Amino acid sequence: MNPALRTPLAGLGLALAGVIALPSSAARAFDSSRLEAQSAELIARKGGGGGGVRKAGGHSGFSNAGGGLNRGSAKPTGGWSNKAKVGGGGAGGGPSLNRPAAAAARPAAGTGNRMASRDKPATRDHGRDGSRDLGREGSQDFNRDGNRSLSRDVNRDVNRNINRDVNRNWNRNVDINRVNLYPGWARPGWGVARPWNYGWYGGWATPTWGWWGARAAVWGVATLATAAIINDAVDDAVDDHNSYIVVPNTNYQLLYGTVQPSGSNSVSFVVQANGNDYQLYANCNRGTINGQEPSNAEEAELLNAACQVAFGSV
Amino acid sequence: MLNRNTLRSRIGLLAAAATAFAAAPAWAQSGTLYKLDTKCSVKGAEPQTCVVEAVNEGSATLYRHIMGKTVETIRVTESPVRMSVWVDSTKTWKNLDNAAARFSTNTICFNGRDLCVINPNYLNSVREERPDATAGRDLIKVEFGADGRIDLTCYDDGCKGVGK
Repeated sequence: MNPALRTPLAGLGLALAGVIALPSSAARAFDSSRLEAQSAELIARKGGGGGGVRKAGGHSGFSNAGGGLNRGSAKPTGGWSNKAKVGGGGAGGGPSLNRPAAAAARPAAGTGNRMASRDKPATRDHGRDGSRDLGREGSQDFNRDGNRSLSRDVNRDVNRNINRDVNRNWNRNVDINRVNLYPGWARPGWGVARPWNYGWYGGWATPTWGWWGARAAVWGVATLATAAIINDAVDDAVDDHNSYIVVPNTNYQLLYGTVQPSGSNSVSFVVQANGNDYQLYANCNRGTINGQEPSNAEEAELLNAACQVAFGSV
Repeated sequence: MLNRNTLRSRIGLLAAAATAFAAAPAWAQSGTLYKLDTKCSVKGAEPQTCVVEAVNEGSATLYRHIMGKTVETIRVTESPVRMSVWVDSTKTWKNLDNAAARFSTNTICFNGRDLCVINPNYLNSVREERPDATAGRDLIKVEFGADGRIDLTCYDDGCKGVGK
């Protein structure tokens, strides 16, 4: 080949090679420019975690030093809402950067002596707290009923076969590693952030479920956990970055981030019981779990909690 | 029946179309993300009903806050993150000085209290895209430099005194 012709061809080859190599080099250039911005940002971050200088391939400590806010255009789990529930915000139900009073009363996340729920010696702290709250806020009868059912549950749980916690109708195990435990709405302000704008749930103190009166009498349970107790449990779990709440007066752990409504009356969710993860469906209007009426007070509490997380007021 | 040349030609066209589509992600993302009925507040005034229209336009997302006949538009781009407000009198985008969000009230404010809005959609998206950075956080503030890029990001107690 003519050398004069060979040179331009070689140049073309180099150019092509450059084009092929461009994405990775461009990506590196992009990364380095982003890193530059992020490095400056991290200095100002509280608890940002220093990284130190390391060679490529190690963990610099800066990889997650994002800008805090971003474009906000990625569709979150549960989709987009078209109507914001207001009222959980600041004065007059309007926008506010001030911390809500209820949140301010709780210790900031990561402070205080609260242990992660999983490490608690018993998973009944929420239930105990709930009973105390009931006593302070409610009537004397309310308090007595709460304590009575609590101690009975504790004794029964200790003595009975642990497998009895799980209804035979709960037959759908889920791989928890494939479940998004922290959808965007499962955060501070979750009650307003729930992306669905529909749903029905009613009858906290005296549920309207047809089976409730007779069953409650047999179980010796006058009430179920209030909305406030369940909301507080979710708030605490969010603050602690725990994926579950302990359903009051039960051994069940409700993975609150898995709660998703189906229609205006039904909800699906994952619950942990006896070390297993079960996908369940509840109809909040009829008061059923997997199509069946609860067979004991614990299941009723679970139904109650899941429906509150999905549709309850906050 | 298609002859071989016609088939090749059509496959080539499909491949070209696919390549063009992949090379123009901005176009692929264009369109309205959502319209949100919510409440806004301007310069610290009483909250008023407003509609937020979130629209992807090219490499930016525009947030139009429609309050009656008034529209305040915020443009957000990424890599690096920049935020700007549309100034109708000059028909230009002006870089924001700062923005802040509080998850527990589902509120985001731009330039101090110049414009505040309850927008859980935006915060849900932020939360889900940056789970590690936002876990356990409630308040986030960002300060932009003169070039529009983020100079400072702070969280919760780390924001005390920031922007004052």
